[in-house]
Order: sequence, then structure tokens, then C-alpha cells
Amino acid sequence: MTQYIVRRLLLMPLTLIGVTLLIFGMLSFLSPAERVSLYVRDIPKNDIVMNSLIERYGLDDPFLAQYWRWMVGQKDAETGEWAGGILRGNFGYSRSANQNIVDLIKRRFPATVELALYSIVPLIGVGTWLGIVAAKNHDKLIDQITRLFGILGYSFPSFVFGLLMLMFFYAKYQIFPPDRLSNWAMLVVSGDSFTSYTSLVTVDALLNGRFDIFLDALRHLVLPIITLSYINWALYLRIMRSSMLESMNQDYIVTARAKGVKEKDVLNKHAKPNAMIPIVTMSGMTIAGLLSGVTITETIFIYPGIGSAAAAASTQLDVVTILSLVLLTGFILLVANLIVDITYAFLDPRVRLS
Amino acid sequence: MRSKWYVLFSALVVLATLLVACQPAAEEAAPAAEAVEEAADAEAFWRTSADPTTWVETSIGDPETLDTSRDYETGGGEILANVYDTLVFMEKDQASTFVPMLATEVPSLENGGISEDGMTVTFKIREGVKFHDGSDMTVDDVAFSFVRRILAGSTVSPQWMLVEPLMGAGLVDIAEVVDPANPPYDDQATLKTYDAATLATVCELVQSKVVADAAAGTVTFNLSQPWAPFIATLANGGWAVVESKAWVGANGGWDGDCATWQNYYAVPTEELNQLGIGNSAMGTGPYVFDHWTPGEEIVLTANENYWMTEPMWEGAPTGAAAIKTVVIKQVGEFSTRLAMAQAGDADNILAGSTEDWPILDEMVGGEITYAEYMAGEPVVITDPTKPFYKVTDITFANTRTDIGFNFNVNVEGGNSFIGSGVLDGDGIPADFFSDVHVRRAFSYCFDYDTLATEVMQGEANRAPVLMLPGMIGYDEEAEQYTYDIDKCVEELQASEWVSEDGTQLYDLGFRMSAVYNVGNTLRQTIAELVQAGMQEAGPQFVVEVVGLPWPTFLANINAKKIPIFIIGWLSDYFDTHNWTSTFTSAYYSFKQNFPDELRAQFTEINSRAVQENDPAEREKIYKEEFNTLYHETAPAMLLFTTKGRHYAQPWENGWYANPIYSNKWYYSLSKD
Repeated sequence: MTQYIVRRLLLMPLTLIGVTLLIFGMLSFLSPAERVSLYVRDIPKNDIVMNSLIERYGLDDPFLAQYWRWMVGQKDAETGEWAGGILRGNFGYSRSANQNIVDLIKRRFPATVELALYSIVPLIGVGTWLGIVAAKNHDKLIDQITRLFGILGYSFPSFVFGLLMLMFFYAKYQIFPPDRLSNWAMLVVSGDSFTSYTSLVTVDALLNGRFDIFLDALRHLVLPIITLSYINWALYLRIMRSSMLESMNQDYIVTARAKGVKEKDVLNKHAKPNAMIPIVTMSGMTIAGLLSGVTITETIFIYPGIGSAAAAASTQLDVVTILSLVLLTGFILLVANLIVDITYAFLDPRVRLS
Repeated sequence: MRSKWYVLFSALVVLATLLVACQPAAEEAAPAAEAVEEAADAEAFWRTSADPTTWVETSIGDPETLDTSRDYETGGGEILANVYDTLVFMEKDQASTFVPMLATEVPSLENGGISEDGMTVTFKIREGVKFHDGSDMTVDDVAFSFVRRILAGSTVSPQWMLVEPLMGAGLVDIAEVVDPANPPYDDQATLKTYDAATLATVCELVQSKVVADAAAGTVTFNLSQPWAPFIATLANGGWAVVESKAWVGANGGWDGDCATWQNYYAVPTEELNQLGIGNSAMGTGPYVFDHWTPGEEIVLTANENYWMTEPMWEGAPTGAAAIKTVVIKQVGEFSTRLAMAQAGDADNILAGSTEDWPILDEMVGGEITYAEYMAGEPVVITDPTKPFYKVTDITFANTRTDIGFNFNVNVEGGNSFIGSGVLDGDGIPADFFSDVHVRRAFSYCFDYDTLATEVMQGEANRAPVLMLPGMIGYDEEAEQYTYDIDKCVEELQASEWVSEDGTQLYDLGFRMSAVYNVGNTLRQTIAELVQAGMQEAGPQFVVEVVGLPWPTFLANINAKKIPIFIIGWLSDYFDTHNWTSTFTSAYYSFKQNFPDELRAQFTEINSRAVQENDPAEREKIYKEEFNTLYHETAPAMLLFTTKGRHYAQPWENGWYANPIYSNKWYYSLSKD
């Protein structure tokens, strides 16, 4: 098992380099003029500015020279010091976000993590539970209702469902607002009297003894969580339902029932653990997706996470920011994949043997 | 059994859908008498804000920077206008009437502030004004503010507006003063290679242009030539505010030492934003900068010690601002902004474009014209249950979108927008639009009314001349092009263009592209109207409408490859010169590749007009010479200014429309 994990860990940097090469190569298909368009306003002399920027950042250089500079940076001819380079922790400046990319990630990633943390249980838990309920009541009324409910959610594009939620629960009844905090809470949190320990607002609020801010932050999380959950429940429902039904038709279930095991134990101790394997796989990808930022949900609910930053960077063709965020997403996916595979190996010994 | 349930559920779903679909609309169901009763209950409309001292403004534009020397966009301009003060200010909604602010009077020929020859402008500086950090504002701070910004330079900054009157007409950047033959535009590294004496001389020259006299309490601007719009230039914008020399020096900016100014020239925005001068602000204005979280919010708090004790105009505020906290939130999605306004969490209602107006109109319960609003007339309440009211017919405008012709497109490396590239019926030559008859033909073949009614929803004023309404030289009676296919055909027949085999343009036809950036529906519609108009003139005139992604569009515009394209301008200051110079002597004259002769003709007129301090004489030059030449030569098709609308929450007080403001001056606002 250890050998398996080490082998996967060793492969990770290579995979990441592959990801960087791929995305850097794809973005290099854009002409230098297109890549600097974000930095050039519609002003007099912008031809000169554009050419000067292309020269300054070496956007006309060969692909590998540009890639190398992005990875390891550039040595200053006068001072001899190295500048830039993601391997040195310098991801550059995000023009679309008006800050260093490292600062952007430091500020936005915790918000995304917080949303993901609070979304995991309702999203995966409820979806899976609905699947179990549907399977237990196979072809009964409750099965039909559950499936219909799930399919309706899956049919909604997230921006439509999110907007409907926003219009009803916020614009009409002012129950669950968008954003991360109310203005009064934001002013407290950004003030000197509030200490940020984790950058997770709910956690920091409790550590600062501000239960009111904790509740306010929770209120703001409700709509994004509902939106993310509802549109994904159908997937979990269907997979768990079919997986459960398949398990319940296995010989060992028939045997268990024949031995007189209680139906509750048949389901919970025999059918459910085996049916959970595909859910584990899917959960890993879902969590990775949540941590990479949920672009549409974050944009609609002006939730300041990685997803909304990625959306802004993409629409403005902010190449430097896109590269960094794709790298972050790639890293999260790789780690999630690794965790899923390890969990899978624990659940299914055949994986370890292979 | 299974199929039975399925059928039952399907039937229920269909039934529910039909019931919802067949439900009569709320408006239809409500009896007319009830509606009248509701309208009568106008008082119910005037809801109050849950937080009357905090103003939440939803916005779609984060500042690029807060450095006053670099910022040249409205997102940052709004912050600077509220944190800093200028020497003079605009009187309420009058963009070209000025009142003293940090100066004690507006310089004029009458009060001696402007010299007889128009070459010097002297401001008497107000005493007792303090910066937010408690330090005194001095005349040295005033002079330093302007000197620093001119030396900070950069062609992407607004400094050209100061460089031109102070350093010489036609100049745009201090780099041109350092090396007129080969200016090191935006290139700090090259600038540093010039010898120290040259650089120091340039610095001292700039300092000699803005001179502080502590004993007299004045600051004098020594112009390079008389400059009619100089006061207007100083009434607004980051380029005109007064900042603290000590604060700038302590926050990463130039400290006033002539030996080091080159180290602060054209610093990239990303570097400026790592410094205090780029990511914060400290002035004498009605609001104190609290914090800026990029992409999320900017917070300003009221300056409780604001110096203003006398109102700048009748009814203007004094003392500390009524709104104690301003939160400017970045909300890109229109639906989310609307939801925030409906919930009362946003105090403004920001449409993305005029296309959002019909949606907002559904939520309007009261209406008033701007003229009535400013006269203090009551809003007419039509439906007290709806959340907003709107102010209509705001005729002030500071921006317009037009169509420009490229007199000679760039064909280097190929040009797919001009077909075959020759006049053979399947393309146009590179200098196709150098023929005035072609430009006039396009001007006559454009359906202006359709654009005004269908795209601009009838709320548009046709531009008869280049300058905006209210600007000197504006003339509603001026001759203008109208949609007239016969005249279009006449002009095409009068064109001097013939093919190699001698076929005239009208008989031969052409093929070319009208290009817009994808997502900009106004530009797309304009391109389509150009296409439709030319088809009306004859099927042989093919204009292909091509949508390009913004970066590609911008790259092609910069490469001057697009033969006909949308041109637009947003006034930097409210004066005709800002338009005439930009369109015919400077920026667009180069973008459109004007022939030198045409540019020279316009520049001669522009130069005379801008140096004319007598408004009557100046107006005559614009009306009789500039407008006539512009119409005859038709370098662009002038379209429309939009009549503005303002959608408001019922608790909003003190708003007015000044076309030059970067959004709002929060000091004038209150909530009740």
C-alpha cells in the first residue's frame, strides 16, 4: 500500500508539469497582441504601449523560452537577482483582480474551501440518502417522487436555479442574502478588532467570540449550498439507487435474507457498504470541483471565491491569472484523485493487488 | 403497477403546468378600481432605508489603481473624487459652470486670476484646509500635486491633459520634452539613460510651470499658450486633485527631488498597486478612504472634520457628509444587482445597458422628468407597491458612439476585412475611404431612425455636430446626414473609384467587412444597419458583419486593419476641445489614418479655437469653420447621444446628473 501511495506521489509533479505545458501551450496559440490586450486601453499611443509590453514580457520569444521564464523566472542583468517564476512562488500579478496572484489565492481560496466544507454534507449526504430511500422503496410512490425531484434539479442550469433562489429567498423575502457577509459584519471583520486566524469566516467568528457574525455568514451560505446541492442530487441519487439495487440483487444479500438477518441489517451492513464504492469515487471529484471554485454559483451569489475570480480572469483574457488558477485546479484534482484512489484501495483490496 | 404511477404523476405534472400557464396575469386579474386606489395611496411608496447612514453602491468596475497620476477610468475616478478635492468644482449639474473649492475664487480675466494674454492662471488657495491625516494643506502641496503627475507621465495616464496646455500644444507625455526627436514613451529604463542634467532641467521646467507662492497663498500655472478649457480641465478627475506631498513621499511616490523623478516615471500599474499611493488614498475630501478589497468592495467613511463650512451653491451640503459609510460593492451580474436593490440592500439600481431598461420599468412605481425633478416637482406615483421610481429625459451626455472610416487600412501581412483588396467587385482597395464620396454615401445609407427607435428605445438625440449638447460650438441647426438612399446612390455614382477595366464603383460594387466585438449588441446592430443600408443602395454592395472576440478585435483595431469601425468617446472634461482635438487632430485622426492634409486643416482650426479666450469668437470658429468642414469631409458618421435615465430607491435624496462625474459625489446624497 505504501509503495502504491509513494508511486502516485512521485507521479504528481510530472503530471503537474504536463498540465502546465498543456495549458501554457494552448494559451500560446493567442497572438502576443491578444495576450496583452488586457493591459492596453483605448488611448492615444496604445500601439507604442502594446509593442513595449510585448517586448518587456518577451511575448515574441520562442515558446520554450517563455515557458521556462514562467516556471523559473528571469535573472536581472543589473542586480543579478531572480525575478518571477512560479517555482519561486511568484505567480505574477492578476490584472483582472488587481492584486498579486498569491494574495488573490490566499484571500479567495479560503472562501471557496468554506463553501465546499459546508456543501459536502448536504450535497453528497442528502443525494446519497435520497438514492438509498429510492432504492429501498423501489418502484413505490416515494421512489417515483424522489426521482422526479432529482431529475427536476438536474434539469435546471445552475444559473437559472440560483437566480430563482435569489429572487425568491432574497429579493422577495430577504431571508438568505448573497455575498459572504452583510455590510455590518464585513466592516467588523475588516476592522482591527477582528483577528483572522483561518480566513474561514465562520470559524474566525467563533474564535473571536462573534456568534452574530457566525450566524450572518451561515445565512449567506444557505443559497449557494442549496443551489450546488440541488443541481447535483440527481446524480448521487441515481448512482446510489442503481448501485443499491444492484447490490440487493447479489447472492450474498439473498443468503443474508435466507439466514434470517433483519432487513435493516441487510441494507445497512451488507448492501450499503458495497453500494458506496462508486459514491466514494464521485465524491472525490465533487469535492475537487467544489474546491476549484464553482464559477456560476459564486458569480450569481457574489461569493468571493476562486470560481468568481476565474470567471473574471477568463472573460478578460487575463492569461497570467488563468494559468495560475488552472494550475491550482490541476493540483486539487490530482490530490483529490490520489485520496480517492487510496480510499478505493482500502475499500477494495483488488486495487492494491493490481 | 409501475406504469400506473408513472401515468398518474405525469398527468399531475402536466395538470400543474397547465394550471400555472393558464393562470391570468396579475395585472389582468386586478380590477381597475383597485389599481386606482393603490395609485392614490402614494405615501406607501416612500419607504425608508433600513440603514439611513450607509450607502451601498453596486458597481461593475473595480479601480485600475488609486494613484492619482495614473488612474484614468471611472471606477477609480469615483473614489478619487470623493476622497480628494479639486481647486474648482462644477456647480451642481452644470458641467461648464465652475465654483471655487480648494481655491477661494474661480480665476477669470475680471478678477485677475487669468492674465490679459491668457498665459497665466493664478489660484488663491483656501487656508485652514486639513488632510485626513490631520496635516495642513499648503500651496506647496497644490503645486507638487500637478508637478508630480506630469513627471509621473505614461501614455496610459490622463496627464496629456496637463502636458498639452503647460508644456506645449500637441504634446502628450513628458517623454516628448526629454527627447522631442525620439521620446522614450513609457520606458523608464531608457529614460534613466539620459544624462542627469537633462533630466533635472526637465523637472525644473515642469516646476516652473506650476509655481507656489506661500506668502501670497497662490499657485500660478504658466501656460505654454492660452488654453480656453484650462479651468474645465482642473474641475474634475484624478489629474486635478490636491494630494499631500508628505503622504505621497511616504507611500512609495516621488518626494519632489528633481534628481530622482525618472525613477517614478511610467511605473507599471501592478507595481503602483503594491504601494500606498496605488492601493489607498488620502486627501482633503468629504470621505476618508477605509479599505479596498479588490474585486469585492471599497469602503469610505465620512470625514467628520471636513473643511467645507459654506455651501458651494445654493442648497449644497456643508460640514460632515450625511452618509457616514459608503460601500461600493463589485457585482458583475445584473440580476444579482437587481435582487440587492429589490431587497433594499443596494441603494442604487445599476442597469448593465439600455437593454435592461424594460426589465427595470416593470419595477417602477413612480416617474418624473429630470427638469421636473430639479424644479422640485413631486414624483408621480403610479403603483406604490413597486419598489423604484425613475427620472427620465436626462439630456446631459458625456459620451457618444459613432462610426469611423479608416482612410487607409493596413494590409501588411494580409487583411481579411477588405475582400480581394482591390476594386474588382469582390473587395475594396486599402484607401477606399479616402474618397469623400464613399464616406458620404455610407453616411446617407445608414438608417439612423431604426437605431434610435429599436435599439435606443426612442430615447436618443441625434448628434448634428461632433461636440455634445451644452458644449461651445454645438449647433442643432447644423446640416447633417439623413437616411436617404437616393443621395447615397448619387454619391456612389460620383465616386472617383474605377476598376482596372474602367468600371465605375456603382456598377461594380464591392465586398468588405463591418467588424464588432462579440457581446456588444449595440456595435453589432450598428454593423448590421450599415450592411442593410448598403444593400438598399444595391445588391452589389456587400458588407459582411463580422464578430470578433475582444482581444482579436482590439489587436486588429490597433493594427489599423478594420475599414469601418465604431468609435466612441467619454469626455474627460466638459469642453469642445476634448472632442474636436481627439477626433480630428489626435487620437482618432491617427486611428482612422487621416491624410496629413485633412489633419492639418482640422488642427489649424482646433489650435485657433482652443487658444481663443473670448467665448463668442471661439463659438464662431467652431460653428462656422469646424462644423462645416466636418460635415463636408465626413470623416465619421455621427450617431446619437442617449437620453439618460436614473432609477432610484424611494429613500434617495440629493442626487442630480452631472455628466462629468465618475458616477456619484456621495457628499450631496442622503437617505430618509
